[in-house]
Amino acid sequence: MYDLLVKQRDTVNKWMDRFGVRFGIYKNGTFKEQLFPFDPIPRIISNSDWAELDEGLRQRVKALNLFLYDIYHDKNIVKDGVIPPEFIYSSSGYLPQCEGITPIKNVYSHISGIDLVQAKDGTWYVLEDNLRIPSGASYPMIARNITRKASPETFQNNKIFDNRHYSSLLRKTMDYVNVDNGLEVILTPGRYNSAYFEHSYLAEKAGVLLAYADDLIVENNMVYYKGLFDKKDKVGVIYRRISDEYLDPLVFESTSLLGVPNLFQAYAAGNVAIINAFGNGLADDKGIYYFVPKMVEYYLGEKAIMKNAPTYLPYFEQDKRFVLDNLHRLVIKDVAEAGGYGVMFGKDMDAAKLEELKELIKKEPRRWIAQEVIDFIDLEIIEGDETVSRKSDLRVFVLSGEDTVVWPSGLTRYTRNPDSFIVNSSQGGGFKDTWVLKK
Amino acid sequence: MVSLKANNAISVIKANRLFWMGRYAERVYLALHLLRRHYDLMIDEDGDAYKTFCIKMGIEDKYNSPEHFIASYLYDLSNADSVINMLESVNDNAILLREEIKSETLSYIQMAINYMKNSKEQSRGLGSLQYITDCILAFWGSADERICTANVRKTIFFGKFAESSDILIRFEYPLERIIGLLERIKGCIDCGLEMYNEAQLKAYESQLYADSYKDIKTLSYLNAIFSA
Repeated sequence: MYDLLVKQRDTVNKWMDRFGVRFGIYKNGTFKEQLFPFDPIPRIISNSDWAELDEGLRQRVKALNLFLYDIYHDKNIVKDGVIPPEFIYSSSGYLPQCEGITPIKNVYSHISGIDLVQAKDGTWYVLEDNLRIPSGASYPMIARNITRKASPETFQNNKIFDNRHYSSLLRKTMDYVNVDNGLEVILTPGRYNSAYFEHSYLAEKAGVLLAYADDLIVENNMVYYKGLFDKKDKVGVIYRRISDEYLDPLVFESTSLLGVPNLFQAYAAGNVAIINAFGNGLADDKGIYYFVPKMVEYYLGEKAIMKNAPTYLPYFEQDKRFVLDNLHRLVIKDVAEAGGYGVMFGKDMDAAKLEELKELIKKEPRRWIAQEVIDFIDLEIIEGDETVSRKSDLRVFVLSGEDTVVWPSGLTRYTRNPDSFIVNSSQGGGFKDTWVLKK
Repeated sequence: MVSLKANNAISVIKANRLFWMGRYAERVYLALHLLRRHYDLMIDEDGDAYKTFCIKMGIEDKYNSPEHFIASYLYDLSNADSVINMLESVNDNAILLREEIKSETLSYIQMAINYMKNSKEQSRGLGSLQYITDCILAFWGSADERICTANVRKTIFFGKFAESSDILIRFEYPLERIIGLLERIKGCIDCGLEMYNEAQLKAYESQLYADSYKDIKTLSYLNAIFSA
């Protein structure tokens, strides 16, 4: 299916280089921009698999949006005993400042990045829900643009959903929540953010402004873009690529230079939409993840279509005993970490390390989750002149506006290290395009 | 729809980046163009012609031989005056303007940098750097073609014409060339450029028509036109 494309890989890489498809990383305190390694062999998803994913992911994201509304308002899911209150109030993602605030059109997670893996028996599992600032959509978008140029025959011979309309979906999502037809901006922390390429590329393709903190000002609870000669244009929607804690120094981290003072007040007054909403970190807490299938049942009265990886919460006594007895074969995650950090595989730890971890789990059970190691399928990648197999995952993007839509593609990340399960680009992984077949 | 309004909004910082990107891109183009002329003299007539080049460009002559000059002026990243550094300065601005200038326009700068880096490794001479000139010309063509918003496009071209005027005055080009560039600067202003100083523009224009137009004063008026 893709042999012709693979033959054109040098051409593809030249185009990637030409367009500066880069990813920034910090190594030993120094920022370095490097080409994001691209593998020309795509991940291919059949039409029937996709139909199930599409339905399951829409269902999951709808439930997550309802959950966020509920937690910041009535908390029925806690009152009804489905989720213990400790999981809400001890989460670093829960923001008490958001209590009682409803975002524009009641959308919390406008852009959700759901990380999936496929087991060898073909079952898809959700590994993580990223509801804060999931990144990565721009890479398969530009990759498709380039691979279609490099090998048009490949796309003539295969019927694949086009994925280059992600920017239109994003724009539609922004339009939907835009307050009073104001300016639409992507707020970036700047060039030295690892995903800066994405911020600027999405701004270009969606036809919106790329803004830095200094470009925005809040006056009388309204956000303005500062133009030439003190000209100010009202901003209606901000797709922020800055974490909650840095977004408003007067409400959150006071030393932040990346944020806009009083932005939270403007948001709370309903004068600007923030994509994604403040306080979403609660829903992508690794501890809350455990409860997502229960949320689907609670809010939608349906059985969850998407499966979680089998997960244990040491917070529950029974689970804790199981985890402590089986630590050597489980994967343990620190709920406070992200980006592939704080993930430990019991099989890789010696007896002393396992004992150390057991003590930590006993001491702070809420801080950890444990999961069965899923034997997920390897994907082929080209390394030099050889084809080798590597672990990979898939981040699918779900956009919530007037409708909830799953983008028919996704970011497939793979590990370049044959012994590793960690695919994060921040740890040196590469990416592939994701083809969803039309038939 | 809000797109038109969005595209018309431009911050002071962004205007500054657009202007300086234009200036640096033109500096690369003219530096290579003028260097070729001086290098031609260095082949068999005047080995020290690079010294004149340095004086006219207003850069320090810190080179101990013609060969050292060529190697350092083209490729040395630790030399603040070098062509590779000028290109990096274009890129430092351009990379922050992708959404305005478009990926295709930015790609010509990326291609030029990639080529310069390879040229250094392969010790390519000045002759092979025609490719850089081609990239810069393509960059200008793409900017003119793809940037629809007048104030964005005109700010970049204002930077270009300001830089050409500056360098051509330094290299004592005929006055009609400088006047021609002034007309193009005024054309940018007429077509929507907002960030300029009218008094400085008038002072620059009067200075050009005075006999002493080659004075340093001319350059200071010129360089003060772009301001809020």
